[in-house]
Amino acid sequence: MPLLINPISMIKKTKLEKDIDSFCEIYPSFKYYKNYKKKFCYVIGDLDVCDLEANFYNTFRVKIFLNKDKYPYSVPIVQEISKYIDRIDDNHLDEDGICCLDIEHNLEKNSKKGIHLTSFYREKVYPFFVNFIFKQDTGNYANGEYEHFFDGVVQYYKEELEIEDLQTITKIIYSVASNTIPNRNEMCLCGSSLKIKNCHLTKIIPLKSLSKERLISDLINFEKIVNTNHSAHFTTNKQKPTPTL
Amino acid sequence: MKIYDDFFKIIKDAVESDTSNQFSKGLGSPIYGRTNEQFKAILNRIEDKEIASEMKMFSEGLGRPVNYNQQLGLHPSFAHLKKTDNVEEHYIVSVFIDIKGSTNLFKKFNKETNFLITNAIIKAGIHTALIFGGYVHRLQGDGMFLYFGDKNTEQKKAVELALQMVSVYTHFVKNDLKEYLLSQGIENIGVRTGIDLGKKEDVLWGNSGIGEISEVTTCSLHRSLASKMQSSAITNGVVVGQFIKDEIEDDEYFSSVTSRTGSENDRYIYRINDRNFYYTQYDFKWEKFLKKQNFIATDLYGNPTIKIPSSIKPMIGLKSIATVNKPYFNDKKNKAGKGY
Repeated sequence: MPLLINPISMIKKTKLEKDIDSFCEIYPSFKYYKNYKKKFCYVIGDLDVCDLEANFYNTFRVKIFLNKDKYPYSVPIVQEISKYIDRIDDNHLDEDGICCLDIEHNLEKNSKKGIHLTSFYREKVYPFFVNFIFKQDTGNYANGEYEHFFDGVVQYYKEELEIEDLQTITKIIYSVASNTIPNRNEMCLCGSSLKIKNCHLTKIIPLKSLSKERLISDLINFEKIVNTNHSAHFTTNKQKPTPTL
Repeated sequence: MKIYDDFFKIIKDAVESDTSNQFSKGLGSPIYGRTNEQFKAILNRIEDKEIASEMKMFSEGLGRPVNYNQQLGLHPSFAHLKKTDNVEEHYIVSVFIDIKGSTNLFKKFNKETNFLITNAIIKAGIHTALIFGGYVHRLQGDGMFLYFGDKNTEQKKAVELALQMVSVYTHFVKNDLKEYLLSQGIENIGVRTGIDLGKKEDVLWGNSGIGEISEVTTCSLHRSLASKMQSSAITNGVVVGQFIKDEIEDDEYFSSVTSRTGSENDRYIYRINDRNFYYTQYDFKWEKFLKKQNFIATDLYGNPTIKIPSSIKPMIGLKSIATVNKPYFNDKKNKAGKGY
């Protein structure tokens, strides 16, 4: 008698599906939707805000979109669908409830390494909603916030590089984008009298994880504020800024 | 779980005042035994007619009144059968819970400490049962025999309540209690539970015994099977009968015992070949079930937490999680990025 094998059971699960299974096992209120013929699949479930002392605060209904083709090398999109949070800029979500969990630069860096659903939920999604409850009660976010729009990008570079001067930041972005970071024993780009290895090298290297497109786009936007023209090096190749301003 | 904090304090006080802990303070220290007054003070920290404060808040949140007016062996819906020769048919859910490994406590603590610990564990079980509308039929050493269901409760609801009760209680024993006892060098403490549903036509209620040496009890195959299935369970496991599974719409909470043991002999807990009656036993995935209950929240790491209604929200407890986040806003980016 021939052995009957169900062809559906023969289909091997993708990395994405395995991760979703494991996520739904840990957080069983979430349910997986394949979203056939669409670029993104998604999970929908309840995110319960609790502290580490087992006190419960609130529940949000959340939808997490995952790119079927690029997972884990893409940034999931998170939507607050319980409509508990007012759709205003200060709450860091748009009119559809799409949440700005972090500055895009950090998310892009993470996506290059791979963003796995469970760790993304724990490190980005869950803290975002906890922080909202914290701000609701105390009036402030626990660790501050990025300013809105391009001001937030400026803040990001200032904090990452620990440099306030925008011209210097622009120079550094250019050096990273054009792959002309000085050698270890050359002088630092910040204008100090120190060799770069003893000064800003360790702050500059992580910027290499950003895409060239993002760096050039940031450079162009910076040069709307400061009087340099490094971006000309790239714009001659018809590079256009992304609409961040 | 916070609802067990008061029981937990009793256990901790019992352990800390045990003479074995005083030996560890050093040879030079004088050893003081626990006085009778101290023993009673620990034992009676939770009063018989009042559940612990956190548990009370939980109970109020569930909106179900707790019935303290119970006697062992006298289910209130069938109390009128006491000292009569009348019998009645009525469904019942039978739950057998056994504390496993409690003899290990004697390796470390004296008998008074063991009494305080096991008593606190049993009291925690009784209070959990009361909250979920259960009736304590009998206490047997380290075990409890509970009924769920009465004349005012639908059969399906009684099954659900029984499963909720054992899930909450097993979580307490498996996590909070085990962790603490392990820190005291006590291993392998856990509970094993068996549950079955006897349907109306299969359960006979009546007075068993003579005079005061009697109880109002059930005669049912499924009561016996619940007891038998309890011994099929692994430590901190729950085994249920087919009829329990049939009352719950979601199959995802059950797996055949045979799939755990690998032995086909374990598939059925009872069979009558002549009548073609085969009764299957299932491992109940209580952790999964628990996380899906309305009264449970799932924390950052996926651990279940009781949703206790409280107006006091200590924000300090959220800060360490919130600090990880630093939000940004760029609406235009989102509009450009919506490709889903």
